[in-house]
Amino acid sequence: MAESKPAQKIWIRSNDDKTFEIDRDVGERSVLIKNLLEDVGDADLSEENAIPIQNVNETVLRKVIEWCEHHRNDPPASQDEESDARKKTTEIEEWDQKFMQVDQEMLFEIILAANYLDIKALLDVGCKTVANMIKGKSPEEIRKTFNITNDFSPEEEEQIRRENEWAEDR
Amino acid sequence: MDSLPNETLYQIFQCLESTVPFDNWEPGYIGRGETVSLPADLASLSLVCRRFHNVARPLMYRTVTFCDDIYEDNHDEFLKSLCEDFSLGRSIRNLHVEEWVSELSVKGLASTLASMGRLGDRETDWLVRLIGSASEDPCSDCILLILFVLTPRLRLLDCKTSCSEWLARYLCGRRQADKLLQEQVRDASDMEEHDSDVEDSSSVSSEMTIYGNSEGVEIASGGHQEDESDSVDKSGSVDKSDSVDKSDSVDKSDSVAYSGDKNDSEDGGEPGNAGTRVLKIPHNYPLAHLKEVRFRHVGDEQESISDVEGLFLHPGIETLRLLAYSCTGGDVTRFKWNTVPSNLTTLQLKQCNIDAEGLKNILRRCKRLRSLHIAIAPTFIPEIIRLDAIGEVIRKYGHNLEMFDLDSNDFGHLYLHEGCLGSLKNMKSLKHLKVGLRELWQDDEEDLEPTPADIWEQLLPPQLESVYIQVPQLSRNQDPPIELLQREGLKALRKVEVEVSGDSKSATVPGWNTSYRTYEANTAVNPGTGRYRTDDSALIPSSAIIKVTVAVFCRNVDMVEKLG
Repeated sequence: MAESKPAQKIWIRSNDDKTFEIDRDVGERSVLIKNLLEDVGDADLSEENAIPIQNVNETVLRKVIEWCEHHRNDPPASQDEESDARKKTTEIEEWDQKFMQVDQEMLFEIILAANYLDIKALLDVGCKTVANMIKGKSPEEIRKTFNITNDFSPEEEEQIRRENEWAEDR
Repeated sequence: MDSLPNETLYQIFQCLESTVPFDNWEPGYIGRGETVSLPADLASLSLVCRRFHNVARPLMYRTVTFCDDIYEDNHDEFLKSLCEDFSLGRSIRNLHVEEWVSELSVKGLASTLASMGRLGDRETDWLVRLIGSASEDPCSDCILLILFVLTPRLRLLDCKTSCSEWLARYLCGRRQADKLLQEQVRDASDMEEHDSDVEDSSSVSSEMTIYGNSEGVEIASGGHQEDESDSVDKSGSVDKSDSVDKSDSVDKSDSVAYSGDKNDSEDGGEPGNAGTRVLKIPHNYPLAHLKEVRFRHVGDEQESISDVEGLFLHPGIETLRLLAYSCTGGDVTRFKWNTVPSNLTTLQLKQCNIDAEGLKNILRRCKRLRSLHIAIAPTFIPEIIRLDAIGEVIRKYGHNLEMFDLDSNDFGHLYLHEGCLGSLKNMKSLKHLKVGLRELWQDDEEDLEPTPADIWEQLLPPQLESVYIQVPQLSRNQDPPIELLQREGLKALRKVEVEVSGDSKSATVPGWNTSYRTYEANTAVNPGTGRYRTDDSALIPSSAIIKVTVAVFCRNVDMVEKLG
């Protein structure tokens, strides 16, 4: 049996100058990093020449790396995305649920980082987590949960409420 | 949430969108999965603030699903909202209606819409005829017709209907539809007096005169006619422009290919060389963006497939799924435009009654058909199905099929057919096959001998990539046919699934990764409504639910590389 090769390392740097050494396959969960690695030759990979992740700070990047390490062996995301509302679900696997038990600010930071780094599966988990926070809530409860100001005039609000009546669970 | 861009908000809100059952769309299917019927959460989001409203509202209306447990008020208010703001209906892409329980006055609604200029003379006329028809539930069907007018950009229509004939007629194209309507007028001219309170019939008559003698888009028989609204591009180019989404009416430049074989000879022609002609969708075509239709017939009797011929004629519809329709030789003789080819690429017939003559007609007409799924209904079969004749037809006319799925799946309880399909080896396009072992092959000794290992290369085409074999419960001598995994002549096979009732596990096979999945199947047969047709899965007796195991064999990567 052939000996398994040691994992190839890469280096990425947060926007507050913290450098992380990670396995290449962990980094390649991010399509952005994967594409950058394809452009940069192996010879240019070094701690000094770490890939800058401009939009993500150390705390969030550490969290994103933790997710990527856990999911390093997941099969690649399917390309045939169903955009027509046929296969949607808000179910989240147990590990991811625990991973997403963070404060709201961090949750949104993770979502933004996943979006920037192009990690679709992490973005999905983040979106589902927020969707689950919205489920079953009234407009007022949603405003309260996410600290949102109501900028409708009373007339506008009444008109939308009338228009939406068909969608109410009775 | 201020930090999140609108595109991310959209992704979040999308998780709360209503869903339309996709794979298991028939009522009462066990494990059909969660169906979000009302977008209550999106409605709440749209009331939070202006920004949320702008993102949530299109999603709220993109997919509209009315399941059986929806109240009448929901229906009435939905129609009211669509009538007050027509832009809402234009957002609707996927519409799923189980049962329409609104008792709203159709006549009142129709005249309101007509006065607002949203319902033309033609639609009003159709509604008048529909109300006067013998439909079991004209109100429900009228509402569906009104919904068609209010949702011009619909892509997927999934509905339960007792009067699919009227809806299909409306969809089949202006001239053909109006000709059918004219026949209806002739047959029931005495109804006009009763209906005249809604619409003066003189406008109907003049329209009839204009279109009355037209044969519609007769493009397969050579002597086709053209006019401003139905023109045929003879260049043979296929242009399925994406611009279809940009307006309600489809511009003349949006064309859809008809693959009508000019020489539609008895032998079915050569595979893959069917001539391609292009039919442009007229700008006033009803629901010009429609891509998929699912009709679930309500009632104890099967509906004839000839009643929904209009769906075969709509040039945009690519996928048609029908539940409880009969497709026999007797049914297809009632088709009115047999020579007009269909653009369908996927046809699924669930709980259907079918024979060789019916299948032959469908395959000759639908030359672009790539995927054919047939599930035979156990309760509606008036006579035994001759599978050898079906096999003959498939070999002769199904040469363009890439997927063939014949499910007479009774887990050994009922055999409603005799003979077997026989060899499909010469089907040059076939890549995916799902069939019962007994339906594919039987020897003279019935089940007394196990299937010989070398039979597979004689039965299956060499380019086959996946096969799903159902092993009947009664065939105790049948081992799961794993020997087909190692046949030299079937090197293209990447995935083999073997379905058996119970819990049995197969032996492992070198070069293949094996996994198992199980599901519960409903074997109950209700003499009145048939299998799977109960809407309440709690009504299925637990003794009728059996465990089914599917062994899934996937050729491992090393083997795939070795085989090239």
